[in-house]
Amino acid sequence: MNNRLKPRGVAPLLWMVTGIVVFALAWQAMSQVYGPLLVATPAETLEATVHLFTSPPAAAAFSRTLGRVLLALGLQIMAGLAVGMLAGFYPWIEDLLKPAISILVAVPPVALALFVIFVFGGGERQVVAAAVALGFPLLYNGAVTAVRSVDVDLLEMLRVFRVPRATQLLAAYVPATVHSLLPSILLAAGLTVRLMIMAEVIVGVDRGIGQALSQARVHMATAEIFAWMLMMATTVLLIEGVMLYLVKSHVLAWQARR
Amino acid sequence: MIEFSGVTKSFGKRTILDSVSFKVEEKQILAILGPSGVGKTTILRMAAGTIKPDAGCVHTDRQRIGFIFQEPRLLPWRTALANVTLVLQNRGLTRDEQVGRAAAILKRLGLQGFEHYYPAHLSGGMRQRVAIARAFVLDPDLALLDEPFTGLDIGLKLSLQQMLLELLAWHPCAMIYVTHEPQDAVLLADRAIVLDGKPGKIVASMDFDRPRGEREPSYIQEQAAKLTAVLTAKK
Repeated sequence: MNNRLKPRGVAPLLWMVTGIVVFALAWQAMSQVYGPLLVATPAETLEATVHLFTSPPAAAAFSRTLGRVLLALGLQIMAGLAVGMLAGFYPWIEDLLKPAISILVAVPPVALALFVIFVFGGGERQVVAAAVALGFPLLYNGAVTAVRSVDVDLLEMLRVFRVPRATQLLAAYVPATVHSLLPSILLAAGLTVRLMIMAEVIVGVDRGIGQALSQARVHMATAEIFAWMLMMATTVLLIEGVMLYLVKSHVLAWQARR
Repeated sequence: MIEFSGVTKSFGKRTILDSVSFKVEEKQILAILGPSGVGKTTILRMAAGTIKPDAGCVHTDRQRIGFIFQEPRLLPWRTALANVTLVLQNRGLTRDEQVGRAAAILKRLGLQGFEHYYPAHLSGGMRQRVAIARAFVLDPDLALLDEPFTGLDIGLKLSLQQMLLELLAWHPCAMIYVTHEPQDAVLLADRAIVLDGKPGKIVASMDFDRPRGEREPSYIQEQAAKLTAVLTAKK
């Protein structure tokens, strides 16, 4: 077995715990240097986090943002996969979309969020649309590349056996594309949480972590801001973890070794 | 029946086949031998209808074509059973009928209990058996084999050849069998043609008069030696 694949026992866990302790100590030191008004201490942050967990308005804000994130992520995946696959099949579609995709990639997210406020006004749908637009190019480009890298030998086999076009799409192109897109989907999940909260802050939608952060900033509730940051980081890790688990247990079952 | 009449095929400026003509009758097995790059696989692709000749014509009344490639070419994300049922779709069968037929042929090929395994979990020989099952589940009237036993160890090769012979006895069909091995040709085919040259042309043809079941090792050796002589004489 490859050395890098060998089980490493408890060592990784110990190193991770050490990393967390070092990080907490550095955080504590920074809070001593700059004062708790600018940098809340880890203890204050933990206390604020517990308070957020038990506060119904905070839970509502969290679930509202999480719902928007999942909606935006789902739309990104569907749109990225569908449009990307079409562009993979038909180069003229890729050429047609190239300018728009280039602009979406080049424009800073904050500028796009501001553009949304000015043109479409602030609202929940606009925030979701902005997050979808920002995450879309990642999945779109992945799908274009994936469609073009489907094994030509497998495609020849499907043609030889006269497998209908629709079945070819579902049996070969979609699984191959989804498999190639997995890293992009995981990346998009984390990106979407960050983009969503940024868009909520800038657009100023009612209810959500973005609004809670804005209010905490106005009230100089530093510990609460840090608590939200901690929750966001945990949420990103959880979403990525859940997706990775689902992918490994279902989508990649065919790769697992017995 | 499938008939090639004066078939010529080029890829770009390179002519691969020049005026190739032959006929495979119903339930007849034709072996095609020749050096690499002489156009053997191109003949199979034309027989399968995935490419067209530049001149001449390929006439076939075959409706169901089974193809066994050199490598299994299984979809890695589908189980053995799902790889076999894949080719049964759109053929007027219910889902239960598709599964029943696929499971039956997998069982015949010794893969009972492995129906729900993914290709990555099967050995090389098992994967090739799934590929054979996929080709024969259609009840093909024409089977096309492109060096399906190349690269396998001798034991595995003999066992797969035996399975193929049993399948052919159970379901006789016309077959074009591309191989580099004269012995394999004599073991399986009724007739062999040898291609050579650039572009490839038929340079020799040999009929094996004895029925497949009655070919003793000495007969196989003798006929294979004749074929080898033809192949080496042309080099």
